[in-house]
Amino acid sequence: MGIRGWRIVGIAILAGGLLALLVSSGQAAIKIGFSVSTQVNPFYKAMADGVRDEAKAQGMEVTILNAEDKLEKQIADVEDLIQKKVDVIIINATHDGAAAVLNKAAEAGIPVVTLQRAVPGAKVTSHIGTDNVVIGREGAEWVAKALGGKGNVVVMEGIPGAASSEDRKKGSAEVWPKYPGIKIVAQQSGKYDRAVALGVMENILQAQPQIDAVFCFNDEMAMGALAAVKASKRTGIKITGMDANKDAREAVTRGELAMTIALPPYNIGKNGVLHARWIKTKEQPVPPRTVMAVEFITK
Amino acid sequence: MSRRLLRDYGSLLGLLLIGAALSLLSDRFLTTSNLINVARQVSINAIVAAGMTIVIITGGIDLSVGSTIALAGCAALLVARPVGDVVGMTAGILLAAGVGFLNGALVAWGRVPPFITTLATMTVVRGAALVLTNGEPIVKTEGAYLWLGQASVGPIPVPILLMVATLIGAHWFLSRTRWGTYIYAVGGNAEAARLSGISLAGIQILVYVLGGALAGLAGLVLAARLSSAQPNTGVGFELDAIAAVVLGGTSLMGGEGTIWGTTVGAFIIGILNNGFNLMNVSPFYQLIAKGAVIVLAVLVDQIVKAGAASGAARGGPARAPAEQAAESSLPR
Repeated sequence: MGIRGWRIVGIAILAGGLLALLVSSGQAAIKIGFSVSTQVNPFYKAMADGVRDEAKAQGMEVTILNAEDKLEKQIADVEDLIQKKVDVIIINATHDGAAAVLNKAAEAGIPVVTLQRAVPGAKVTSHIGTDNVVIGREGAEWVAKALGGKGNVVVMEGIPGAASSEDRKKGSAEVWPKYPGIKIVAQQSGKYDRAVALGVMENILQAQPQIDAVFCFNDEMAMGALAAVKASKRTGIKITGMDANKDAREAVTRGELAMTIALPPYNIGKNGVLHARWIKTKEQPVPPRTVMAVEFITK
Repeated sequence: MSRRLLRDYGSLLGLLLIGAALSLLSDRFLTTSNLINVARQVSINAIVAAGMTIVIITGGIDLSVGSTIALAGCAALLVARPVGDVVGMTAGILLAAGVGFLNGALVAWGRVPPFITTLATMTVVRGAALVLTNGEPIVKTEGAYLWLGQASVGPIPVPILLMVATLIGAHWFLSRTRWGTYIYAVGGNAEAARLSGISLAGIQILVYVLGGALAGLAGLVLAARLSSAQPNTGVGFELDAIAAVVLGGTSLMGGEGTIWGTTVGAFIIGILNNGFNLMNVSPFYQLIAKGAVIVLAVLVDQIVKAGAASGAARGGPARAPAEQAAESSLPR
């Protein structure tokens, strides 16, 4: 081995020592790693809060890494967790492409719990989340019934190609044909963003003289659509959201939004930690797939 | 003259062609209410793009404006809640200008390339907005600030007036002031500009401060339109602004470009989005169509410019604005 080789070994030992020092500050407890897709969206923030709070309550040591919506970063994050030899990896995946690195974790003997987003092809011990196809279907049913099976509906999709948006679209598309009186007058993407949805809704208001409901795939877009409808001074339009964010809930209370769907991101995070514990302590059998129920928030 | 017209107004031709096509495809497009609607939507991008034009003319780029929009809106509303709207709005714009100062200082004094500087501040500023708001939207449904986004003067919404004022101001600044001349000179040939006594660092900091402040103004307008500010808004807005600048014929190499062109570019993007929604085009196809139209518009502009340039070469010496600028800024 040349000088260069020894230098690398030296750096590796130093880095390893530093890491060990960092890690050793909370021994004995179960160590879990949580790789979360993003912290920009309140939904995933609540999920991370659930993981953090429950781990604290259980006296577990938790490392939370934010993939910033980038698959490459998430793969590197999970590799770091494997190197760190955590006991269980909990992941809210950005993409199906995380499968390979999750299998690497499984090979290293680290059980994997997926939250909200299932990763096909990965060896996963437990999956916990809501089912977006079901949410899309139940949300569309709610809208159709609220309109008495008759009316013009605008559908506001999320980011084109995003799994949550496509699944909600799929679920809702199953419903509309059952109600011949319901006409989808526009189906456009607000990219899950309040500012984008504002512009899209303004444009649709220009094109459609009669709109009875706006069915949005998240609350941010519902709030954007609400701002557009308010500014247009048009009334009698039922706007619905999903996620039950704080200001959307308040808008429901004020009667401005007709409905929002509460997903339980916080409880999904908590359950993830609980399952991680059960996997290690074997005090309870861990179900391979847990579908969390959603709640309709209305006035 | 006609060649010069084509060179300067090639992108306007593109805008008119797209507008004509949309008028044929949708009977709702060419109505007064829709045109006001489009202009109001364009206003935010046009205000950001005006600043972006000034930055790009110096050969720089500012990727942080999308994050700055979010930070300025959030900070303004957070300050406005206890202290009042005027102070809040001022704080928002000052903070955005401060982000611009940071960008300019890193580029001018730190010698970090603009792309890397602003790529870094893009994430830092986004993070700051999230920290500041704890990731939650800041809602403020009352107050004088709403005037910026929701009021009208006569039939004209305030965001449109702010856009017009910004564009005229930026055009005046670039074409009628000494600073404007220096900005073209720095973008045309930084070394020559420096040798002729222009403070390179001063100009670079100035353009990023202007770019940041205008992004801040756009952030306030956006917050006022939504009666709230989101720390996660404005993602990708920098790309719309850059697209507007490039569609308007401004070179990413620096040294040339006009506010007029950027205005046309912003309207091309605006009417495309509007047309897609009016005609209910599937979101998947929208992505393809938007990219294709942008490439097509720039291609047409390039061909027209090449034609105009070769014609000018035959007809007499053509002088690029950068050359003129560099010359006129020489010490006399």
